[in-house]
Amino acid sequence: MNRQIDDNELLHEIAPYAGKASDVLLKIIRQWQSSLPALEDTLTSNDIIEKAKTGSHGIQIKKLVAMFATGIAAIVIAGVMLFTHYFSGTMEKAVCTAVIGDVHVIRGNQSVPLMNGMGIQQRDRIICGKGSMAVIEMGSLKLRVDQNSEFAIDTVQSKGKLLLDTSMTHGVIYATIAKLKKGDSVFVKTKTAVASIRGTTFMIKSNNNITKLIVLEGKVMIAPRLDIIPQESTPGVVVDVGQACVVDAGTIIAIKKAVSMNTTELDTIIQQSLPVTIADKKIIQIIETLTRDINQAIPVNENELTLNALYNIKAVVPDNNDVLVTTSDGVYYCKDYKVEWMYSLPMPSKPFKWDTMYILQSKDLYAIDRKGDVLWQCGIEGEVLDDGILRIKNTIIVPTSKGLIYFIDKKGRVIHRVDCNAPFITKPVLFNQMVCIVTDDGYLYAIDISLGVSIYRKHIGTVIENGLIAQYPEIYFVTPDSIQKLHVLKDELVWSFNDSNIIDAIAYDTGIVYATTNGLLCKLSANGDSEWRISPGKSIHSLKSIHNGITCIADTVFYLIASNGEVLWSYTLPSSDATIVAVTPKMVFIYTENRLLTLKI
Amino acid sequence: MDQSIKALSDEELVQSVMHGNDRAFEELYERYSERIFKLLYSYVYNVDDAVDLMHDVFIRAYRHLNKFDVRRAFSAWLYTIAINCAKNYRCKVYKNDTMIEREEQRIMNTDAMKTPEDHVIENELLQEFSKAVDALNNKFREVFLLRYGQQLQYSDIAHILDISERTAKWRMERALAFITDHLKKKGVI
Repeated sequence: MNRQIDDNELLHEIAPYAGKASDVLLKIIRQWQSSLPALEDTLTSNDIIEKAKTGSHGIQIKKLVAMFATGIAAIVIAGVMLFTHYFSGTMEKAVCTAVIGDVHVIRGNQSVPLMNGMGIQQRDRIICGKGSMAVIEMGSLKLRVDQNSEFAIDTVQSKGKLLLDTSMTHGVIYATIAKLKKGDSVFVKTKTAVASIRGTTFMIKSNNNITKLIVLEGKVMIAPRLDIIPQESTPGVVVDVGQACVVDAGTIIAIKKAVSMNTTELDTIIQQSLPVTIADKKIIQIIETLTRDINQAIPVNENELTLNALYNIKAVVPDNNDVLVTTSDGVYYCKDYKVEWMYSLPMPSKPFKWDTMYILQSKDLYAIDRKGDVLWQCGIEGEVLDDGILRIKNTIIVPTSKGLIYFIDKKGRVIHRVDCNAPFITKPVLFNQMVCIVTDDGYLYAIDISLGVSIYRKHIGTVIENGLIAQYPEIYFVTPDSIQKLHVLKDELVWSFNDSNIIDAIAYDTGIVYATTNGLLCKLSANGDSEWRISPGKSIHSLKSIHNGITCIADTVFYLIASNGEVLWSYTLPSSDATIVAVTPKMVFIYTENRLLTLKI
Repeated sequence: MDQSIKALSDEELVQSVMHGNDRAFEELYERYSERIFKLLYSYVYNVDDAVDLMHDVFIRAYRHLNKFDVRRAFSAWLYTIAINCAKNYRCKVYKNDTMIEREEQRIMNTDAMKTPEDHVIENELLQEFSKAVDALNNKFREVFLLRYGQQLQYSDIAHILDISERTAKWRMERALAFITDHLKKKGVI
């Protein structure tokens, strides 16, 4: 341990807080130190050793056992190292990497709750209850066991060669696996069929005597189970990418082209296979409602709050009756117009509120609580996109300027890291069990949240910054010259509406409101029909949606009713460089000339 | 005790204990028992309990020496054990409101040799100071006790608490701000 601190060092440390009273405080601290009682009546070290040795008679035995076990373990480890070295293979463990809801593992005669990080062993049986889900990973293999499913690991072995036999009594499994090496084998058995998998992404559903397989990438060979249905049955078939196959009581009854412009088959099946569709929507609604409720309590009313004239205000996050403000020198927590605490952090990103934590970046990603305590710190590549962080359940989705998306849990652990190979031009949006985003090279990605893999990729061209609006199962994408509606699951363009110089767009009701640089503000219905069109002012900078209206900032700030375009009020800004930093149902926070201006709606 | 043992570093002593030299453990016990006791006392505010806990810390340390990584600082490892023991004990045994009462009682019972005036003034100062320390958020108090109670460097505190040095410094700043604010409000400083 390093040298101990002296009085001068302590005095220097106390001075900023105690000022002229530093000497007095140091004296009190010294008195306090000397007032602590001295150690008198105590055991000797021999007594301690005796107690340590005799506290449990078994300690010596334990030591011997430990030595013996260490010896055996050393032999085993050496053997395994030799084995793996000889076969140039790597040991991979099957591990649960995500679990939601009621999921149990039957191991021997015991049923234990499946936990995140728990190893999965041979002969384990996994039971997912209603509304639950688990993800299991083994090397490049990722398996998502959906709700109301029962799934067993019959054989698992990965010493040199990967051998995985699984069986499913009922339910749905969604799986993705990188190309396997020669000699590797992965099987999924259901009551009626056996699927042999190579590098692929697929979904398999088993219900009583019917097995349904959909291949989204690669190929899967499927055959009826001869051990269960020994009579003459159809031989196995290879199901190609985009095909669905149904096996019924020993017979392959159908292979259909699942991905097609004209069919709704895949749409229906995928909706059935995604277990938390309704739950997701509810969660999203709850988040939105909570955000509204939290924001409603802001007590300020057409007032100005000056924090630090030396530093520009970057962002404002309302929180209960308080406000979190970031400037270029750090984070300020303000209560009743006073700074409650300040955390020095150079150039922090706009904070994202996550329950009682704020997530923000200053090189690393930080989680800070309401008391200003750093809860965790996580290294990421690139800069977090402004307003780019999304939250779903106990995970946040963090896109960075390097074209990477991180999925991070509440303890700051990176669950998935997805590389989209190009910088992002839009913010990510939640899309059922997926997150959608568009890259600089014009590709729309849909990434499965549980698996952390891209399951849909389509070239849609250049879109504007806020140009991705999700309304499952459809997505609006807004280019500078058009607004288009895409049915993602059918991979079908529903409609396209042309205009020019589009600069911003937001979802409203089931339609969309967009603004142009010519100063036009327009509303389109969900069918692509123009509902209203007004001219609130030249050069509209930004739009923000509030529960029953829209705030539009141009040369002046407008508040209007989105359903009919009626302007309720307007406010002329003191400066042309004003930007909206936050909008709540009752308040608009505007940053202008180094001051925070609040307008009551 | 053999002078050559006194010249050994903590980590060398640990290696010696692991080779069966109990005299090396005696030296470690001598070096740290008082400091660990004072740290524990700051958590439990009771001499008997602090002594018992201190014994427990050294018993645990002796039993688990084989788990200690000799490349790291023994003192940090020992302090970590002590803090964990103290936290467990505090959670199990005490309610926060009894802490201050115990401390007030202890201060009243000490320094019987001073004049009544000195006694009253100093007791008041120390009581207010103890109240402020005890009212600190747990995380801030831990850093404060290690820094001002044990006079450790931030690098060591960071190591013991498994946090970054920057976080340790920041917690200390918050602790000092809270304590001075409390003492100013009470008119102590």
